[in-house]
Amino acid sequence: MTKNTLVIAVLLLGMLSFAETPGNVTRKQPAEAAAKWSKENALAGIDRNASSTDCAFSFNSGSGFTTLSYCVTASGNITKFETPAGHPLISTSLGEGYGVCDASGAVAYSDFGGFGDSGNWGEAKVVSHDATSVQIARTTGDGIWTLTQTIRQGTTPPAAKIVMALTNNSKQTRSAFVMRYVDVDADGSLTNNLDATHNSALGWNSATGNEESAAFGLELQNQGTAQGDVSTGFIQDTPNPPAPCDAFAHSVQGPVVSTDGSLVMFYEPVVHSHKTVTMTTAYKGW
Amino acid sequence: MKQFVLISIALMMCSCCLAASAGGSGATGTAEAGVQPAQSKVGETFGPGQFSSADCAFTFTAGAKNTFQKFCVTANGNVTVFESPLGQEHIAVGRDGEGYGVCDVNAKVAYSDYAEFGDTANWGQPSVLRQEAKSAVIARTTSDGQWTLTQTFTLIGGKSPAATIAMKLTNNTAGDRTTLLVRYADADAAGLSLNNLDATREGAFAWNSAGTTGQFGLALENVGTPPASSFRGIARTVPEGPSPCAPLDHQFQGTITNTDGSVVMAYSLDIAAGKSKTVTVRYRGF
Repeated sequence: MTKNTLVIAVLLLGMLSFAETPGNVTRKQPAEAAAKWSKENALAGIDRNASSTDCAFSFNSGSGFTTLSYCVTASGNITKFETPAGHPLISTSLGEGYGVCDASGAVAYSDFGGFGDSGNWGEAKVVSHDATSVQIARTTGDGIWTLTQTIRQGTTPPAAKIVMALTNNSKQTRSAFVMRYVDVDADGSLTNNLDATHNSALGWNSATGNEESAAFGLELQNQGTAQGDVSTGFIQDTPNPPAPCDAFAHSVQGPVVSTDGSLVMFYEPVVHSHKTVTMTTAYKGW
Repeated sequence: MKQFVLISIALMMCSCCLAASAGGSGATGTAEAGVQPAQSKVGETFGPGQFSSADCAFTFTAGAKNTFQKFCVTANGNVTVFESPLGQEHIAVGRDGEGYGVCDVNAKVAYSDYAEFGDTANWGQPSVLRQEAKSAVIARTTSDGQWTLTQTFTLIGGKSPAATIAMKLTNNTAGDRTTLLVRYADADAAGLSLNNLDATREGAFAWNSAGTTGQFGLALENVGTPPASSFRGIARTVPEGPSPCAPLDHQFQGTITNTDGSVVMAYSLDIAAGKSKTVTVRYRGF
């Protein structure tokens, strides 16, 4: 899929959105209740893998408005992200993680934390771990791909930086779709404003009158220049993760408001045999 | 409750401030009311200090492609060009509006310089205290001698480039003072006058959504924990700079779309006689 195809797909899918658009009357409390009910139902049928939801590595830094606290599971999911202190930004669904679609073979591999995994990954291995970073490698069950994630604490600004190095272990060049996903619930609120740009996907609560204490947000940001500069952020009008081989099925044209949605950064690397392509994302407060 | 300090001061001051921002008339409007035609330098009337310039005195550049950043600073300490990533300029469209404002709440006097949106004509000449490859320091005292604003502009390179501005405000009087300090930009994300805008506690943002023309944005963000009794980001429905004593005028509470607006970070500072306080903001593309 080319960059232009991506743009067109996003535009077309946006027309089908049922998410609220700016200017509509905000019905925060009923929307919150409906979102909570919907999310609980979605999670009820999922067989959670403890290794994909339990915190294995915790990182804390800063003070005051620079406080950052996040944790990484043994499988490389970030299931907690809080900045500044007292303002959680990732959902209690613990939905966060990574997806890879082998576009050559149309095989999907994913681990989205609380929303489960695709069951075709090998065991995750901790390559290294220190006070500010952890590196976790994981190979797909068929041995074709290895995803090595280096998750490092950033302090200025406070951030969790995720370097995703995707290695093609096969004897042929392969195309892939790679994505980072998060079920954002800014400041613990299920319904937020959402939008995306070329380099970022964002979920936030606006600074409005008496609600300023909740006026925080989460940014999922691409960092650096992706291979061929082919990357984009997009938002979904659902907290559920994307299907890696049909990633834009629930993408919507932003901005949307009062919506329980999710954020995605999307890449389309071409990886030659026994080579590695690196993509860098970061979570930040917004 | 500290959040209300800024609002209270602004409301108290808005009816009695002695200085007005250039062109800052009209009540806070709706998103539709904020839509204005593209800006023009022809036939426009500047504010009282019509010699405020948009000419670049210092230009800083780093990175390439998606990590490219260029910004320039005028002799008076305005950032009138901000480009990031390569080819996506967010301020220098039509009249270049960017700068700083100070409201002396006790004396009910406002001081501002918003580049081509005018200044209040009550500033002295700026002096360059230091210039290096990645930074410049400019100091400027108000013509009544009451305040000195010392601005340090710093280029931050790397995968997530930014321009930081440390604003050190010194109270030269013999009495303790309460002030409002604002940073403002007439944001025209990716060279387009009409953008989406919104604000959180820690920032104010203007952007174009993914899937539309110019899918990039400009963020004006607080950095660190400011020594302020209150602070917040403000998204405004007009491109003109705010009156420093009424920064909430023309704010819109919520997500604004398709509007030629502006972004502001506002701080309420209590500064003892002869003392200084410093707040830091950051511009970055997203």
